[in-house]
Amino acid sequence: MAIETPYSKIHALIIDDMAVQQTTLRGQLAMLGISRVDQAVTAEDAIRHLRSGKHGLVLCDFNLNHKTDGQQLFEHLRENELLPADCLFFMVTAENAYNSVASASEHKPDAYLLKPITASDVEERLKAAMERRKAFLAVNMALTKKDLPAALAACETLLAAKDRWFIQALQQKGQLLLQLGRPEDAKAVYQSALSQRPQLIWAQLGLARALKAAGLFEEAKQVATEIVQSQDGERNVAAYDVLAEALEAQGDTQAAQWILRDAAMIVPSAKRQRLLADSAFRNGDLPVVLDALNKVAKATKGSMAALPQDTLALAQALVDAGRPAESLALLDQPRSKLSANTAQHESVALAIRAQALVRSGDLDGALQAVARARENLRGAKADFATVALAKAELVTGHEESGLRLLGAAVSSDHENPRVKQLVRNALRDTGHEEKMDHLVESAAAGLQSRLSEAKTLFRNSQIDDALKAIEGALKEYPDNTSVLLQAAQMNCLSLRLKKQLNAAVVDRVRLYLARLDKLMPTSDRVAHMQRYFRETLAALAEPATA
Amino acid sequence: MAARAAALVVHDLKNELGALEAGLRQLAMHPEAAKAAAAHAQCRDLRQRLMSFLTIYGHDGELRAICEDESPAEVLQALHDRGLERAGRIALSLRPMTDLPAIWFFDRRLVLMALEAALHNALRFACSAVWLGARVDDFRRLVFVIEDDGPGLGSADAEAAASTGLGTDLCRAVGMAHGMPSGESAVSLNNRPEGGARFELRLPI
Repeated sequence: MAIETPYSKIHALIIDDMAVQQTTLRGQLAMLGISRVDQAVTAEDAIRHLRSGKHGLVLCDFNLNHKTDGQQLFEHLRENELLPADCLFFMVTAENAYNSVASASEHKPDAYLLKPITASDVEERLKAAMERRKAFLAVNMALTKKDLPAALAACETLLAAKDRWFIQALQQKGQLLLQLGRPEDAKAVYQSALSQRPQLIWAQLGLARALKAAGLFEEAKQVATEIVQSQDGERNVAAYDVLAEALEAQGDTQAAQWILRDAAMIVPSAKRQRLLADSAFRNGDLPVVLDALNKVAKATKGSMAALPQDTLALAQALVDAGRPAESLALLDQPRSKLSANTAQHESVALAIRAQALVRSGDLDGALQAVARARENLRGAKADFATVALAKAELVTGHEESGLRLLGAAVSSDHENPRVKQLVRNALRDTGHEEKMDHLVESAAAGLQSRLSEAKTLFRNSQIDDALKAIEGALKEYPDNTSVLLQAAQMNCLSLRLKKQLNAAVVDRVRLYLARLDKLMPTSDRVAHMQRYFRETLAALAEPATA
Repeated sequence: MAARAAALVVHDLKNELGALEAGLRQLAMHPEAAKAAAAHAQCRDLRQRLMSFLTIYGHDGELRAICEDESPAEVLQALHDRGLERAGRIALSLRPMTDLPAIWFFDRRLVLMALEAALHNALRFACSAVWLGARVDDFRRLVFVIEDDGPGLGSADAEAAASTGLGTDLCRAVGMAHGMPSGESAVSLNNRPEGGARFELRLPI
């Protein structure tokens, strides 16, 4: 007979590949009155169960199998929003693995349970996690609605209580301020946490991020370096990421790659190898790209962590490295049903195939492939797909089309150094390196003329015409961060000049800022614009004073 | 670790395992709920001893504490709840916790493991009562306190003399892992003026 306890209503999921451990955990849960328990043996099984959205507790073994560990599964679930908002995630680890698991992961589960687990261990952690959830209810509700200012206000209420949740509320407040584009305020929060306990890794990391977001790259590097050199932070891969991002922002892309390589050695996950491959690809360091992508392929074969993009990136790197036969063999491999292919994916594969066929001496085959690739790859963007097609065009003799595509890629975000790096590599690989400067200049010139037209109209007080002009430029370059920033600023200025909170304009600015945040996460320029927008709203919301 | 210490620990565990084996054999012939519960408690104690042993010696290099913001009151409550089943006829109670800080930074798992070992000892020697408490001392250290009304230190107790001191070693290792300076003792065990023993585990801020 089922026992009635405060936990009886919880529907649990046990993720473990060992039958004995599953039975033991099920028994422990039954002692707590939790009788509705599903079991999953693999990560894929677990995802299938979690899609039902009915689970309130997950007990996941860290050592799932040789492909995916519990931490990777947890991060995958969080990133893809597969874990219900009110679901608790407990990681089950062995005693000897706990230190390395806990210190390397920034995204922590609700609790770690060390084997052997007893019912009272689970109950204690469950009780604590539920109390925490109750305390943070208002914050989490606001976060679910993506209402960051409301979440911040709820945090302030928690902080005012100065109780058991003070430190965690401080941590949450820092994160919210960073998300709200207020790095200076976030910095102050992290500094106040560090004044209480200097060795708090999350506060040091938050401080490094705040400094980076404020454009203080040297200081950000210093704090991040201190973290990775400390005993508690030496395995903190998030600190390595901040360090790499700050180095990249300063133009030292090679050093950024080395830092990402170090992080991939600490946590050799597919995710970290992809970050390394991406950085090395932009730097044109093909041996590192191939090594990292081969590791990704090996680690994710037949698992939920495999991405169609992995195969494409590896195939492109093999062509670039002068190994077209291997690239073609890879592209010919049957796809697993896990990596569903889109038309876009197929077209990129064809563009890479065309490049490989040219290198193998099959120009006719290449021409057919590039013609088919063109069908689905319209609307050039600053992305891998556009660059792959441009390269295919260039090597099959369609110089004009190829250069036009690369020009469009640069124009779509002409100030983004990553895009420029990709385009420069594409031109070099296809023997057109000397065209880079001209390409960037002409892309920037076309754009600048559109921007100056809008600015002139604005200066002449033709505000509505200026807004029309900037909206026109945005239609042409929807992902160009300079145009987006300019559009956000002009719309804010128009609100201020007209002294009226026009809902349509406010919504438009929000849309631009959201797009900017996606394109340039934690950029100081975006942060400044977000602040300017908030100040604009605040100024217009206040009643006029005499 | 020294071979002699390892041998002592194995000897200690072997004897208790023998007693548990005998108890289980008897249970198999004559099932009885109270005896089954006692066998379970004995098994759990043995497991905890093995975990203590692994915590002190079963890793490369020194023991590391992963400190988080924790509530001392909640940890004492958890210790109390865990100890109730084992306490039997001994009255296990919490001292008033009104002056405790809401938050302290420590490794909850390690600290609870150390305190459980100390509580195990206190329950073994107590006559009728064990008290759990905590305070912040003049040196800004959090002090967990476990007191009993047993015979106190220095009594001619054969059981105490046979103990391997694993619990004390564990507590010391946990204190050191939390950064207690080597010159200062993280652990003390003294007689109480009113009789019985007082165990203290100190953790720096």
